[in-house]
Amino acid sequence: MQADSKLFLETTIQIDRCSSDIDKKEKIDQVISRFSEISSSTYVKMEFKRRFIQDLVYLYHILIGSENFKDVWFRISKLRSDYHKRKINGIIASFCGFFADHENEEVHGPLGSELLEKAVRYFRNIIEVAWESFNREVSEVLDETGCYNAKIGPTRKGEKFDNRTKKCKKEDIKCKIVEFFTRNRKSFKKIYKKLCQLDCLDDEQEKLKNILENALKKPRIMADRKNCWNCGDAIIAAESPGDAVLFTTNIKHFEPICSEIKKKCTSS
Amino acid sequence: MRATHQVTGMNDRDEGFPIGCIPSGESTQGGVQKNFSDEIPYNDLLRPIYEESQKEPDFNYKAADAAGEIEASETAVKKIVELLKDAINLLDEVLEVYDDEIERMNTFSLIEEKIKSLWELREDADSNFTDLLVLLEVAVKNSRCQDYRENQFKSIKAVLEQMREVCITPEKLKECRTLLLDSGIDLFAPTRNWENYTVEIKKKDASG
Repeated sequence: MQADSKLFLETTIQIDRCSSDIDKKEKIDQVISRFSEISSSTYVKMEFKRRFIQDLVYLYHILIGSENFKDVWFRISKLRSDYHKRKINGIIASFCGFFADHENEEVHGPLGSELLEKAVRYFRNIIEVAWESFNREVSEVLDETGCYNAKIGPTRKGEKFDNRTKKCKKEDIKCKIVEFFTRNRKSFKKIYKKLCQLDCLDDEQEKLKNILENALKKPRIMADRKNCWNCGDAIIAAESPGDAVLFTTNIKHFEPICSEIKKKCTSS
Repeated sequence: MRATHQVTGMNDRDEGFPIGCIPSGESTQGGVQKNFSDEIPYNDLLRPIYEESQKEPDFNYKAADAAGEIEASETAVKKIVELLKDAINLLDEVLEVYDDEIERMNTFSLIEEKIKSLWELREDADSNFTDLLVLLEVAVKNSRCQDYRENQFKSIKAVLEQMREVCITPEKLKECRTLLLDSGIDLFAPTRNWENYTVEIKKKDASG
């Protein structure tokens, strides 16, 4: 890789910089250090908010509403999504492991209440730190899509955080996604064709293909958040600068898309 | 807040007052006897005197309690500042012996004890101060602290110096967080192992 080239950080990398284990994080840092210009985008920031900050806010709200850790585990266990159940449990378990003085330390009783207080204080700060960290080491945040949801971060409302994402509707467009799609129509068409050629598409790729098929006829449907969010990989690849390398951990989804629109991508 | 009054004695009227808070003024025992009359029901007779007797000592109790609280709080704040000073001195020592890895880490590990002591006094500090204390604990407990560069120790020291004001504004809190992050201290360290824990949870799920 060239020492003076550009790197574009995709959502998975932005999330992993804050949440992956230290070895993975160091590998990411090593890749970043090889490039002189680092960029990302407001669309990536929206995904970062939706996929990472949202989990932290959820956990924080659980913590402030719980009397003890038994409550915390119980409330997390009520989550329907197994993925989120495991992830949120993993985050709080990791937190307890870090602060406990001894392995398998009891987190109930007086010790547990102190740890719970620490958890509330820690996550309250780390939510803000995570939002601020998005721009860390990033020299440019592109705004081709004018994503409205990236403009406002998590906001303290009393004891809680407001981290809602706007319910984008094509009747009330607040961003530039339709213009962006129209401007990059050729790229989206190539991506659509590529997806049609691929054999085993997974659910996400299948959704992307179907929405692109419709959007190529009626670009205005992109102003609906479900359509917009399901086209995330294609939007990010199209927005990534032509002379930059797109950095992602999701090479499976990005490699076919990027190669089709003549963009480079890499994984750590 | 903790009261620091000494227990100096008890009398009949002391019942109902927290231990150590002795209301000033004359004993009411004589007053009750002076107003006693067989024509008036005993309880009615007693009530105004009782109520009256409650007022002045209550005021005195509150004043004494408030003064005690202020005194206790001042003592705690002094203790906080002292502990912070100790921690700063330890960091100076860490920087002095920076090239000697073992001595550096032995000295640095003592800071964790200072942070623990500060945590015990958190009720006498403001909430932002305690938030910052938790973040400092993250910095000190980090398994990678052995590899901290001089500037990272300096950033911890700078935060401790800011904390000597004890009253930390939200802006100051943010500034301190940035100081730690800018030096490369990993504030996300406590949650980085989440994937390892999900493996354990998956195993439990599978066996349960």
